[in-house]
Amino acid sequence: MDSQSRAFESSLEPDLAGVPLRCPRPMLAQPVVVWTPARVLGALFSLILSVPRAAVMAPAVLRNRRA
Amino acid sequence: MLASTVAAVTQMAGVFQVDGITSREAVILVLFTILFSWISSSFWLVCFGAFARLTRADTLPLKRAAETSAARTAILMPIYNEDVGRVFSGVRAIWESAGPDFDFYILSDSTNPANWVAEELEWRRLKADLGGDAHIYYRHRPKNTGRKSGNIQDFCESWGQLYDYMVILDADSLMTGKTLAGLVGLMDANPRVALIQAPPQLVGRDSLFARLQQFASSLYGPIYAAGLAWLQGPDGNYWGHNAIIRVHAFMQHCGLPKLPGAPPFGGEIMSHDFVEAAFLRRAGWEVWMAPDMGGSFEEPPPTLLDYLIRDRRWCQGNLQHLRILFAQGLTLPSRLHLAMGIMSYVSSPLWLLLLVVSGTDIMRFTPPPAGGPQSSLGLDVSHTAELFVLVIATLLLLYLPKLLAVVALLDDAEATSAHGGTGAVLASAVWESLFSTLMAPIVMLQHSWFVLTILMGMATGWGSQQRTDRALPLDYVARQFWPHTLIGLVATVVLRKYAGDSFGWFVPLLAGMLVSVPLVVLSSSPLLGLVARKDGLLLVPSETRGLSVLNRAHALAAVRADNKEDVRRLVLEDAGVRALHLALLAGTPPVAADPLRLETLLDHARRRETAGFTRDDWTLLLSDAESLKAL
Repeated sequence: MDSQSRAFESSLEPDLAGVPLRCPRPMLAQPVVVWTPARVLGALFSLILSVPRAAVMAPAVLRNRRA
Repeated sequence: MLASTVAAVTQMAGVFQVDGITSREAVILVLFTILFSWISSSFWLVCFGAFARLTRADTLPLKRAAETSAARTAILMPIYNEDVGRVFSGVRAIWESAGPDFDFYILSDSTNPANWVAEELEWRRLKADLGGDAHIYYRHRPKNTGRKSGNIQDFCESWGQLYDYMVILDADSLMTGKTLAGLVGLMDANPRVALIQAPPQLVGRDSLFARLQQFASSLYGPIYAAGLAWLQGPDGNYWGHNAIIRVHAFMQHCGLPKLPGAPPFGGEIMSHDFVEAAFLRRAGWEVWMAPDMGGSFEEPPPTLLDYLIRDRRWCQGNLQHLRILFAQGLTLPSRLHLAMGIMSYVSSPLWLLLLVVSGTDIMRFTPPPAGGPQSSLGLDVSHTAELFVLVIATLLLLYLPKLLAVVALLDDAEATSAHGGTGAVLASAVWESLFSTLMAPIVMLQHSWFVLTILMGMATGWGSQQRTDRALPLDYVARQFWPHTLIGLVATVVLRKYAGDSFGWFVPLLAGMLVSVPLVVLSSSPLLGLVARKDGLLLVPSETRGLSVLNRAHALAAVRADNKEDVRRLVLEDAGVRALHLALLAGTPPVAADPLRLETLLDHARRRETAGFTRDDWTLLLSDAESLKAL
């Protein structure tokens, strides 16, 4: 690593070179799928719907298992 | 936290049930629920921290490196129109402590041409002083695209591949060589770790306000950080500086997107650090905090005014996280970090609203007949005793963490001695609590204003900070804080007239607002800070035991402090300075400017008639290599 990276040191003007030679590699912007207020409300709504259904179905599942 | 909130809210709901819960009481109940859960989260965090401290629990269960590291580490100091002497003094002090194993990058985004040239000269001087062993680099960006995160991204895209790790510093950060080597060793031994935050301790300032902050940081910081580290484990957070980062993980996962829409909620992500930590966690990397590492420092804002100016930017940055809080793929702890950052500002307007609603509820109350239910708070309640329990519980949540911190400190004889002894710790803790209680309503009002203006769509810039001590003049402070005083006066008159016996409960809040102007003036005084130090108050280990890296940085900065020369002219008048400037300018794209304007500026420069140059003129001329070569 060391010898490899030191190759990027500028050899032209060692006293005045501010930085090593650049070895460019871009950083890509990461995706952020931002939730809109409508989406947050939708998620809450589906949660409200799903919780009672799960609560109602849970005993049925247990009964089926017993059977 | 959940259990204590549920218990308190149940108690509160019971208190209101005289004749059913009114709409006003429902509002109080909702606000109380949010705020009680908020302060109880801090309380439990400190409780866990105190427990971890007292039981000597290991808050950083990572493998320790046994061998000397072969990794290459860059230490980055992004700067933006900072005090040049201070910056380079800090870099030199860190370099002297860390040695030549680290490469230092001073990444300048300075837009002030005087700073720009001064930085170049200081860099050359530093290189000459330290000799060939020192790998200290300087880079200036013509435009500060993306602000600090853009500055670091530019480093990563240009030189990131040359390094395994990078340590990000702030302009007032200091770190010891031992800590830097320790962080590198931890990264070597734990390949799944992408970031380790070394919580910085506040040091180095003399104003009374700064010394209060330093003492609070030294007293409460360790148990808060221990609690946070213990609970969050590998789901840690990043505070923007004094942290080591695995470069390839950062480059792969921390490219920040622009949020749709205009500022303050859209555009570039301002508080980038929390988001970068969340992205690293989303990608499966570990993010840790090292609360016991030590050797990591920064300086506090010198005055309450500077503290609030900084908070305005942080508030905007944290509120912008509302857009990211529900972003897909983030881990739950990352969302909690973002939510806590948002709540640290949103809690202020909520407290204010709670006080206003409670106050009006008290004022509309007509005393019941003798023997009926009545509380000294004047609320229309059915269970006076329960209300008292709630008030006491809330006060305990606010002040018990301070007591726990004192206990944890006194449990450590070495630490107690470093803070001036048991008596000094106790007296300083009382003073600190008094000041923080008085400052709390001022901060509450100011944060509420920040949140309101940001919600109204008013964005702010991201300028440089005032970092040196300054005693604020009375007239200047009065112009800034008269609204706080006026609000305090009006509230005092109204509550005195209509709140009856309940007025006493509001006195601590009102007192802070009423004395806001003298409080800010007095607390900004370096003289009072030094008097307190002489009296053995608010002492911290860096003052009692000394801190070589800090002392060295201050000594170097003191030599530079009196240099007021206009260094921009040197580029025109001194061939050596011009050669240096041109060499550092190499590689930057040519400026797109009106050739006629450039020619006029060049003509004036040749005749040394630069007195009428504006800042833009200087920037344009100094950015154009061809013009400078023609001189």
